[in-house]
Amino acid sequence: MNNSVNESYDVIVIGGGPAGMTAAINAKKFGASVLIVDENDELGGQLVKQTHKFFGSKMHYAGYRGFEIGNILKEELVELEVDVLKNAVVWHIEDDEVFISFNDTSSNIKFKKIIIATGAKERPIFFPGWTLPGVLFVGALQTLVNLYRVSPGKSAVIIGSGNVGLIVSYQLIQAGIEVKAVIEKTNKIGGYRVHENKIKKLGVPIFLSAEIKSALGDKYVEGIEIISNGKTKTINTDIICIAAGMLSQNILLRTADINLVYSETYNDYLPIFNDEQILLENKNFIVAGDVCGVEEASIAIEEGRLAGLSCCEHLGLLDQKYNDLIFEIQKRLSELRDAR
Amino acid sequence: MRIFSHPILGPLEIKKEIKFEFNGRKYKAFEGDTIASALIANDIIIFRQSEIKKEPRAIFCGIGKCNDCNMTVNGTRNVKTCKTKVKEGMVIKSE
Repeated sequence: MNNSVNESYDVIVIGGGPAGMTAAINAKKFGASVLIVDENDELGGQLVKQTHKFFGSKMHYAGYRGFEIGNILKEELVELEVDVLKNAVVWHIEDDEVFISFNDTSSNIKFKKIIIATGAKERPIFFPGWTLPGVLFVGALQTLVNLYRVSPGKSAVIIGSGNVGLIVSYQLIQAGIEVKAVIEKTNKIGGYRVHENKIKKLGVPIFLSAEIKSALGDKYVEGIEIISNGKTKTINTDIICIAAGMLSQNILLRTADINLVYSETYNDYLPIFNDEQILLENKNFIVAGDVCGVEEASIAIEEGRLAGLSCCEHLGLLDQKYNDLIFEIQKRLSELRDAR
Repeated sequence: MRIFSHPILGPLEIKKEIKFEFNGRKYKAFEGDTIASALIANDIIIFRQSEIKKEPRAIFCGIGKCNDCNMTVNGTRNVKTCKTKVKEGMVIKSE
């Protein structure tokens, strides 16, 4: 991996998470010149803080912890001698060049194909007192507790009863933090029964059809006031953790004037693309991972593989004998989605 | 606070201790901590004040997007403490 970059590449990949890394690996493997760009200090995206073991199939690194998968992919990038630019922010994309800010300067680099794999961001929710110290996104809390082994408080209230909210509630209890309540806006629990039962068994109350009236506290969170079934309730807590879902991190698509359309399935604004992950609007733009619909790491990995191969195919680099690979990936994606 | 034992993740690995300074006082952290996690380990939960209304703020997104965790580190302003690893002898000031 070197930090010196060329003036142009066949393929530039924006985002070094599971989708971006597998896209870069496959594009390079099948003959393209590749640059991968990431704004962080290290590649891996959300994998770096995933401490739990993945399940599924061997193709999806079952049995490995998230950060281990990140390391495996990073090593492949080194072996394949893919150019990597870290601590670099792409701030604009035009038809055939990207504008990147790094080393206190800005550079333009040309591309033939661009793979946007910028991942997801958390869905913010706002309520009086939301800016108080102690209110934070579930990703932030999970990273602090599982990766760094620290906690900004001894008790927490979780906003959102999807799988993430339920799983993190369980993880917090394991870490010795008291989960006082899970607050759900709708009238039913969002996550799977298995997670719901785990925390119910531990005595965590789940409030449905609940609305947040206000976070309480002067200099930091001391409690939360909610309205559930018409009744106002005050819960003492140090932490208010927002687990209200994830959204595509699509700002680069917007700066490139790509049309985003509301998707009911994902409850998000996404670009329109074909089954080779190529944007209908611009065939040199390819997407992969959560940016084209938040799902999960195994899907991000397969979409990354597909994006890399699809680039090589359209650049005329892909040997005919590999044509089946694209079809195989599409089949696996279909199976993964059916299973969800 | 620091979480020393965890039923799944096991006991905290013994790591090298790092000394740093925050708002004039000396603190300890472990190698591998970010500035944010080092402060939280030392029970510092207010990170900065908002510019105009001087309201308390602290880490929010944890991935370097929201700027709520910014502090001045070794003289450089607006350093994202959630993404920056703490180093021996760092001088950190809240903004």
